[in-house]
Amino acid sequence: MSITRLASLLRNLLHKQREERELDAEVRAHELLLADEKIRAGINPQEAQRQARLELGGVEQVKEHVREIRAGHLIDTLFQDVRFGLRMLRKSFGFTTVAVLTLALGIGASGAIFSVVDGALLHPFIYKHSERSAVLVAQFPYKNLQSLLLSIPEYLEIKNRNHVFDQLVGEMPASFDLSDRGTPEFVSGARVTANEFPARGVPPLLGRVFSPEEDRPGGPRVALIAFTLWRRRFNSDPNIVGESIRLNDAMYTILGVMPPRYRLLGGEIFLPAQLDTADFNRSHRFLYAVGNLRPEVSLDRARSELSALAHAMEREHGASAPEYARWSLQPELIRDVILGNLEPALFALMGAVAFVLLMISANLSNLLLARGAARRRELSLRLLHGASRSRILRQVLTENLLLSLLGALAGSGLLYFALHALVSLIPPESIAAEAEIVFNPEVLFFVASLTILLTVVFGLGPALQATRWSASEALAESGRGTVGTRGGAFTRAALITAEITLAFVVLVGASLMFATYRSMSALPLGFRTDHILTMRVPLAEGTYARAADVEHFYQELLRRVGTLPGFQDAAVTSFLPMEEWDFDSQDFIIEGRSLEKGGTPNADVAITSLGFFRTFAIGLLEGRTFADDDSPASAPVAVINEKMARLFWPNQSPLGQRISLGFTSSRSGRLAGSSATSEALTIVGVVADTRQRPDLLYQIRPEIYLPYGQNVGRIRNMALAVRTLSAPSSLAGAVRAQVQALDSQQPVYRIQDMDTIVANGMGPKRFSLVLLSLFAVLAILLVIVGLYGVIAYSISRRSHELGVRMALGAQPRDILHLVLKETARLTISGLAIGLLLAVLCARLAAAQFYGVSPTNPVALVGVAVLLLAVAFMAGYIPARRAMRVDPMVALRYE
Amino acid sequence: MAPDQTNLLQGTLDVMILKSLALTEMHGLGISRRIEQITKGTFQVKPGSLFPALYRMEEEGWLVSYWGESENNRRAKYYKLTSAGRRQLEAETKRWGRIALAITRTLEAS
Repeated sequence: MSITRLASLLRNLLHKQREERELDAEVRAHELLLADEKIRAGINPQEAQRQARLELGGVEQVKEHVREIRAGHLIDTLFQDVRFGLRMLRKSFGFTTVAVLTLALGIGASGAIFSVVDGALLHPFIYKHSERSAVLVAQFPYKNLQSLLLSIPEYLEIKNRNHVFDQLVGEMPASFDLSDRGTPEFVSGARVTANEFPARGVPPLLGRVFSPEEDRPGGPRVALIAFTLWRRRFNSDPNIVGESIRLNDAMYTILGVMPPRYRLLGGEIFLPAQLDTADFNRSHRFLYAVGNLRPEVSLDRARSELSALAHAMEREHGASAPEYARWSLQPELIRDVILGNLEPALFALMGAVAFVLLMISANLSNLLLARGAARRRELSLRLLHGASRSRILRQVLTENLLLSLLGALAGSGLLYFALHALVSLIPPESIAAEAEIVFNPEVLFFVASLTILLTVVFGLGPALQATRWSASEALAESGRGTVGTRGGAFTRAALITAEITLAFVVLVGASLMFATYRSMSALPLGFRTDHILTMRVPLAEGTYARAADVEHFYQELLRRVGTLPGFQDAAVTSFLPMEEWDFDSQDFIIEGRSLEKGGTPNADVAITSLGFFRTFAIGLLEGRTFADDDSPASAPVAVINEKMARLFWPNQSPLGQRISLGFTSSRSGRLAGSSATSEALTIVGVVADTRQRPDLLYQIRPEIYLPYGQNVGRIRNMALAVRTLSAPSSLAGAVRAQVQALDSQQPVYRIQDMDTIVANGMGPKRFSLVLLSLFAVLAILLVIVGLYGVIAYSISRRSHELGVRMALGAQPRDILHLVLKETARLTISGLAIGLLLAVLCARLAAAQFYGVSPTNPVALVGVAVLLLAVAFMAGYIPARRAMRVDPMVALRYE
Repeated sequence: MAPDQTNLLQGTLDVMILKSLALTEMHGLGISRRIEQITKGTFQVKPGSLFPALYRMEEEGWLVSYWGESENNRRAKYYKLTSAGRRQLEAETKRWGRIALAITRTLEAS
């Protein structure tokens, strides 16, 4: 387009009115000139004017011809179409609302699911080549153990001998007390080898990363901090580099700040690993080994090379390390670890979304068809007045596009606000800390392309159909009733069937999940959850070196908390019911019994102070709980749970029985040392079972409670539990202040009330429930809109027939019956298939449900009745309109 | 309307308008009468084709227009060739020469 043409475009658009006046004046002047010419040729003025008009061919037509070639003509008609389209949409407000709402729900829901999938599963990391990133997994058949952790000699040997990884990075989780600059805080982090940074390819935001020289045993005390910590604790101080911070009683220099979303092992503080190369203990395993596979190395090749390496290591070190017998070493892609068994579910979810979208478009198609039928007169009128068919097609398509744009706009708004709620529902441990789920450009692009796709899918067919009708009617007014093929009717019936089937399955799933949720909520927990405030108070090894220091701190803390108003009871304990998956367990031996075949039995071990059973209101079944005189001086005692009593002493009282705790097999490693007492423990009491893990359905394990008074100093990370008289949160500040009063540098973390802990345990089920319920609502809406569209369309096609029927004496009631019969016919097959499919799906997913049979007849029948009611409601609206049809009007249309 | 009126080839009208304006500025009716005169009635340009062409050519920058007085004192819009219009006329003339030559040769070959 030349500059002058561009200028014309601007002029035409900006000075439209003036240009129009000019054009009009010119064409009229031309007519006058023509007439003058004819008068000069001797024709009388009146006749001359007539001939001039004829020769001109109509002022309006000429002007229209000129307008069509002018620059900006397309934009002009687009504006016109949009204006007209908006007017049409406003005119049929009900239709527009339904269509926009359906589109908004579809676009919003699929956009939200896309955001989660994209953010949490497809692109959770900012690390370079994270798709090739793999973690090493060792299998030790000798110990029946799978381990992601390796020892220092193993790591170094694999690092130096493998040919499959670019870099093999060693990482170990760590946690730190961060005690200066503000409230003491307990922050998790990682110690990493220096090759971490070239491997991940993420440069620091500020400062620098550690050098290999700094990553040697005895190297300098340096630290990197995560963006979140920098912002939260250091107020985004740009001069933070070079400052010192106190971590676990030692000063470290901050070398740099990492960019957002750099959260190695979910932590916020990163120190050099400074691995002790003189550590030759092969079974002291605490390192993750992570690396990017070289681009040319396939996963299969990596597997076989690492197997060969494991064999070589078995040959060389097998004599000193018996666990190497038949051990294996395998790379596991981080992507697979994250996607894991989620992948099929993910595809199912995406499939469901695609299916829902397809049905939304099909529904809209039907609505548009019904509306197109109602607009035939308008469209054929416009055809008769000289509008071309392509012009009308463009007009109808513009209207559809407007509809989808409105839907996309509302859907994006919905998505924007729903995303936050959705993300807060997802159990946090199922998403990588690095992941970011936001409304980003990718999501926007997804929504935009989806909108265009939807417009084409739902809009093109009805638009073509509408113009075809109008064209045929413009030629012959009587071309009605013969349109509408049997094929179309079949497609529409199939659509309704599919919608009802889907709704059936989703509704059954939602109601089963609801029943599951309810039965789980009703599960006896074994303790009272209300009015309990909990927090973790971990004592640093440096400050509290001796057992006596530890004992003094917790005793004093309990004493001080006991003086607070609103206090009822309190305890310190190593174990909080349902708090976490990590637990301390030990093998034990029952005195006077030979070892059982399956090896030594194992139980969870908890160390609690006196008040524990009172604070949590755990029922005493037999014997006694702990007493003041269970001291280091007296005989060591233990209380066990009911599960343990029944398992090991099925027909007798366990009271007075003696057990010895043996080997530590602690997962969290909190139980320091081996057995504190080689002395046997006497069982003095049996208490009721409590739920131990965050999952309510997790099987209850045998549990041994040890009195704190006899096990002082074995655990430095105790939890404080306070039974309060008022709301637990109201005491949180005061309790914290007491901790600070005892030791101003002492951090406290995970402050929460027991109700919250229990609710968190229900998190995954709640998420499924909410998601299923949302889908169920969407499915019901689909059925309503779908059925309404089909029935309304069919009535609009049959208004002539209905008119004849009424003229021949049919009552409105008969018409209603007729329509409802059609609704029933459409609904029944969907219900039948839905029933079968729902039973099948529920059986396949039986493991997801609890306390309800997957083929629960109440759920099945209830859903069927609900859907039938919904279907009749959807059919009733257009049926009522059909009943009000005036036979005269219906017939006169012909 | 002459029964043997030849259909205007795409682009032909542009050349004829440019050519008829080469000598002097004219209003729309003048242009169409001039074309009829040059082609001895072979081409009759109706307003429905003339005005769109004039507007398009003006937007291309080949013509400029102004309001003036006609022979018998009527207000009329006059068109005038710009230098770009003259260049266009030259280019079109050359192009037509080439095309005419090519067609003549094609028809003479046997």
